[in-house]
Amino acid sequence: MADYDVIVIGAGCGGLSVASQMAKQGRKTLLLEQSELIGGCCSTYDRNGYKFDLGASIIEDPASIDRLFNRLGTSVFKEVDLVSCDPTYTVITRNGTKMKFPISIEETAKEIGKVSQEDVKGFYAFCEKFKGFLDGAKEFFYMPANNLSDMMEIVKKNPAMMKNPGLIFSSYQDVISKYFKNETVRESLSYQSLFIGLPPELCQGLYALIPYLEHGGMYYSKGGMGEIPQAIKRVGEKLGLVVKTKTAVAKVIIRNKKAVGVKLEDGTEISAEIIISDIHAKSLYFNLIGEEHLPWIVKTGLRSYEPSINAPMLYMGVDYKPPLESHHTLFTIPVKDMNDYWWNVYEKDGYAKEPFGIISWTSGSDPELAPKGHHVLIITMPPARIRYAGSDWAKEKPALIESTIDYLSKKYIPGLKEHVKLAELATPVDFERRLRIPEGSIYAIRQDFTSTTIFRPSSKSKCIDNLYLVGASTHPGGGVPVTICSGMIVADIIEKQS
Amino acid sequence: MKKILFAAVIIAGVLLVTMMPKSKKRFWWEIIRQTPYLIPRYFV
Repeated sequence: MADYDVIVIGAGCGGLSVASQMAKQGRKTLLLEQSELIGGCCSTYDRNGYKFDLGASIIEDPASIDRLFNRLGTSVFKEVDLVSCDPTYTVITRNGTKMKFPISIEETAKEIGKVSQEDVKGFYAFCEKFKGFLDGAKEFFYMPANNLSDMMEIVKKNPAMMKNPGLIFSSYQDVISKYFKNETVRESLSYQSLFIGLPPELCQGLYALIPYLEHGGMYYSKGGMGEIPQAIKRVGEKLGLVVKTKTAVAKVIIRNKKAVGVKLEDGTEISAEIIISDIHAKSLYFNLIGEEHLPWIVKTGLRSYEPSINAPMLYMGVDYKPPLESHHTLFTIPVKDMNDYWWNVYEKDGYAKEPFGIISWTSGSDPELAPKGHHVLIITMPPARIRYAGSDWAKEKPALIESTIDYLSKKYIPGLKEHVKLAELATPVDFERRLRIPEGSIYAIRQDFTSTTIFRPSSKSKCIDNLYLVGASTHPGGGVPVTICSGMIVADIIEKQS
Repeated sequence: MKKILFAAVIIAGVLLVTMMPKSKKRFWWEIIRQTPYLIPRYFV
């Protein structure tokens, strides 16, 4: 008899989601996490009294997270203290135009009208389009996409996908350009394509729904984003889930093409009926399972995946109230420059001379994140690859911190330079080391047309029995609510099979 | 007749690609570039 019914490797949001549901289904479940923190990219760490969110800094669409908590017999609003972020963003474009995006669609239309009156009508049409699309594609994120029959089912239950080929077979840039004529307005709505890991001209058009989705509400969890995974863990433990941190898995034990247990780095072997992985599919198959267990076609497929983007993050503790107006401030560059950056800098392993990105003023939403009178600022910097042409990240760190603080002080956060008490930078190399993600890509695999749904690593392994995958490298993709959905998909598959 | 039709299709295709904006070309090129991997990816 096996030691556990289920072993889950990795306590990211996907792993926690599926592990807590396994416990709810009455299965003896063990969740193993190599780090001392749970939550993966959605974790919060403390440094000298400042609490920094490692990656995720807000959640959109709390409904999908609430769906998980409902399955566990509670509600996200009961378990996590969510603060509404309104306005969702302040955008400062490269030409200095400042625009606020309140949750209210009418208020946002007024803001757009201040820049371009002719785009107000376009904004309402844009919202109408995506409202219709989302109404007709609600179940997409909760359905498996492991084979053609799953795809047929997705299309059947999400009729909007067939009715809107223009969103599937066009780029983000095409969709934004269709509804908005003014370049500044286009710029203010285009940065979000990077959340999918691609510039506006390569990102699929349907993801232009993100600027619409933001009007459904944007939330921050008091105490830091890490409170969300902590809440899932707490509820899971009440249901019998066992969580072990600082316990790294060295191998998944395979017998007769069947996953039967795991071997820890200290040599301990633990057996289980079902193994679920919440680590990157490439790491799982190549490092924990081994090429000898994989058919050639699987190896070819795995090697063909391109990594999603990563961006260095600058974490700062400051001893004044920064002159910012919202939880998030996007400092953007024109759409053409974003595309050019991708081809001429990012793809050539270079780095931006003038930064663009997101300023997350998390202590603006929760003052408890910093000592009294102090604040926390987290800067998501321009995307960069793990390779750095002509140098290395460790060498560049001090200069990059200094030049970024200088630039932000001059252009976006007056007084910053004089008030920084603590500043540390996480580069793609740090993300790879800390989170054990290949190339430090926080969204795992590029989310383009050829790497989604049935072309993304299957949530039920096609070459190893009793093995399942959750997290950003499988369907539906990266992001906190979406990886939580991947956990719900696998929990449903397992429940259905048993 | 068949040859004329074939030539017309090729010319139309070349014209379409030539007249396409650069960003559209790049979008479709990325899809075409990755198309050979679709079958292996389906088996992962």
